[in-house]
Amino acid sequence: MNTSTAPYVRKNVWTLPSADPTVAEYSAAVATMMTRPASDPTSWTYQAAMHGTHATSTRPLWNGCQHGTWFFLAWHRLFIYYFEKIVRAAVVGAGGSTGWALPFWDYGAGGEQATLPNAFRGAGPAGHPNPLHVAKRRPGINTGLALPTAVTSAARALARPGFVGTAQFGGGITGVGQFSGQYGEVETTPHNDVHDFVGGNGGVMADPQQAAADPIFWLHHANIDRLWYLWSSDPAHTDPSDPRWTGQKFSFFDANGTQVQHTPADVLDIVGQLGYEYEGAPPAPPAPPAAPAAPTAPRVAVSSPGPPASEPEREPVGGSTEPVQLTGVPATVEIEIDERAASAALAGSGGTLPDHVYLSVSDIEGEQNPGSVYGMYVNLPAQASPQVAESHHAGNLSFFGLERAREPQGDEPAHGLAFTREITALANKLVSDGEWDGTHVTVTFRPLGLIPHDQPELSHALPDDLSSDDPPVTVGSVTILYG
Amino acid sequence: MILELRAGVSGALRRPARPSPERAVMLGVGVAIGAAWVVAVSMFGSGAMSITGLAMGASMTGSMPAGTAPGPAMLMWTMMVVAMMLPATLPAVAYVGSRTLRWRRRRAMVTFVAAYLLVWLGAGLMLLVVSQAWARVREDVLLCLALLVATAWQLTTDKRRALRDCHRSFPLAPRGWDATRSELRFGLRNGYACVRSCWAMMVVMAVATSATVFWMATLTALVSAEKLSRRPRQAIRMSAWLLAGAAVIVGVSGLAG
Repeated sequence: MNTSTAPYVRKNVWTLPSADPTVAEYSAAVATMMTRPASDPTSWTYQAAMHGTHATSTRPLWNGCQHGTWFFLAWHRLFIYYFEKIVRAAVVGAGGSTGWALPFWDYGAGGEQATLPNAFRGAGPAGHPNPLHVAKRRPGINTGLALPTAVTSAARALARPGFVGTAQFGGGITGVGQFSGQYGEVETTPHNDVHDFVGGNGGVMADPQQAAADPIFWLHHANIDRLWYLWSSDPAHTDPSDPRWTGQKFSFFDANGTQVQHTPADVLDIVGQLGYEYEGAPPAPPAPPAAPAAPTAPRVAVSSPGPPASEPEREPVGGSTEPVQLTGVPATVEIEIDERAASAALAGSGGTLPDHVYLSVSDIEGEQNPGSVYGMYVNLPAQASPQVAESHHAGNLSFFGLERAREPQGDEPAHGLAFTREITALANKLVSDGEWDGTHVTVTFRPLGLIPHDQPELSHALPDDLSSDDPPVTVGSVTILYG
Repeated sequence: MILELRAGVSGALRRPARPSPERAVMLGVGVAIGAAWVVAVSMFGSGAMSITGLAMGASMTGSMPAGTAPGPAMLMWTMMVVAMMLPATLPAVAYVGSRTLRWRRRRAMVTFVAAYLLVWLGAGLMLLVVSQAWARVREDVLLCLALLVATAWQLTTDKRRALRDCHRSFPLAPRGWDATRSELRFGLRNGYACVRSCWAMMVVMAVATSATVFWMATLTALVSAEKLSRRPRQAIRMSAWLLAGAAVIVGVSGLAG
């Protein structure tokens, strides 16, 4: 995969010059791929099915996507890398740009950039359908409403110090599996949230077995890949060096339809190893060491089984007493902090709070992903304004992959979804504001909605179309943990 | 959940920074498993017997007198369940500990184990009742049939679903009766999934009249491989092949004998 030519540049789809052909060439290439037979690995159908498909008869490498696992980022980097090659070949074949590169959708930039790019919205004139348009998206997406900052911001994810772990950047240690329940921060927000926000109830993007058939999927994942690049560019951050991660083999198809195999170790340096870079991103960091598990890089070194060194021991100190059902309207869970458990967890620290406080939401089950995204708020006052809600925001809860977790394919065990968020900074703020008494915590789930792009202050506002008609999702446990 | 559970075991057994109540329970369960194996080897090491044979008062070689069914048979069944089923259940026991308030962790883990064993005891009772139906069947024919049934079960969708259910987590309430009830329910649900997954192999164990320790060790290895493997479908298929091979060997040797 090494390249000695100038790297391809993946550009921001929203800031392309008006005469830039990138999106038009993408649209034409998508149309070309859609005409290819489903048996062709370079066809639109085949590429989408490599991520996931409902088809009962499968072909090589179908249903291969990796979610809820520390392989999430590496697998998707390779997936879109080879997709980009296939599209580029189609573009060049049609006489287009030889330097074509997949653009990214930087919804986190806010404003108009938080809306679906224009080229993806319209269905096109009769007889000339727009290949980039998908009707089965959340109402409002195709008309230009914006995703709220609450779901597009990668700030929490980028601030995580480690890669490995369920409350870290990249996800927990798992084997190869499509939905393994060990989500990292970036996979949850913005990745899962944007999938659900674009797809909505029953939409293509909200279903992992259809998602890659929506042309915006690839720009979304280019952005997720860019976020990984940004996180890795911080000298304080280290990608895994565990051989179980670096050495895991995954297969894809190149532009000739030939099967190729790579490991995460092959994709750590996007410029040197893969030959592309991101517009506006800082220069690539030094190439990672070839040998794994250097003793001087212990931050996320996880060469032995068990939680990595960057994951402190977590101690449950209180939890919900019964499951809560989410149906599209706000719901609140009351949690009593157990004095004995908290005292034991705080032993020796002498403070009100430990070094780390976590909010865990687990055993999440439902028949169907409602496509809703909930903000989770700690000790939120009744009738709180969106601004107050933002100051109590602990993260989001979305359900991308809910059905697959319940009825997995292949070797995965069935399970409910589970997410863990570190809320230390929020808890400390609430303590200083006199809103955390250490004995009682409320966690409020509030659905988030699309907003006008020029009203970002509504990011945490309840949607106008609030109703309890969502397919129900049961949250089995909500737990506070000290670490 | 399997990786979470696997990490739970290593976490529970690792010497922790703070006092770890779950470590004592994990070690206690480990000692019980070890003791069950010691008893099994000392009872069966020099001879052979079957649970169903014992229940019907058949002759036996060992320390337990014949004709004392069904009590001794249930004791033997319990010993076998502890020896064969608990090793692969350790991750779930550790999981209960990791999800429970520290001060009630031991109680929660013991409650889970008790409920889990209760399901297997119920299955053992049913087996003893049903075993009357094959009381007059030749022992090698019975074992061969049991192995064929176990092979067929391994290849069913229901088997795969049952094995998946063994890995499902369960919401545990933090304290009080709600907590005890949720731990009991989790133990019962996990035990039920385990019985659905492993019943056929345990029938083999129940009718095996010779090389008892060999069968115990082999079936324990198969059960553990299925439950702990990262590739359970592969483990299931491997078990099916081994069981089918064993059925052929038992059948051929029966014909030759």
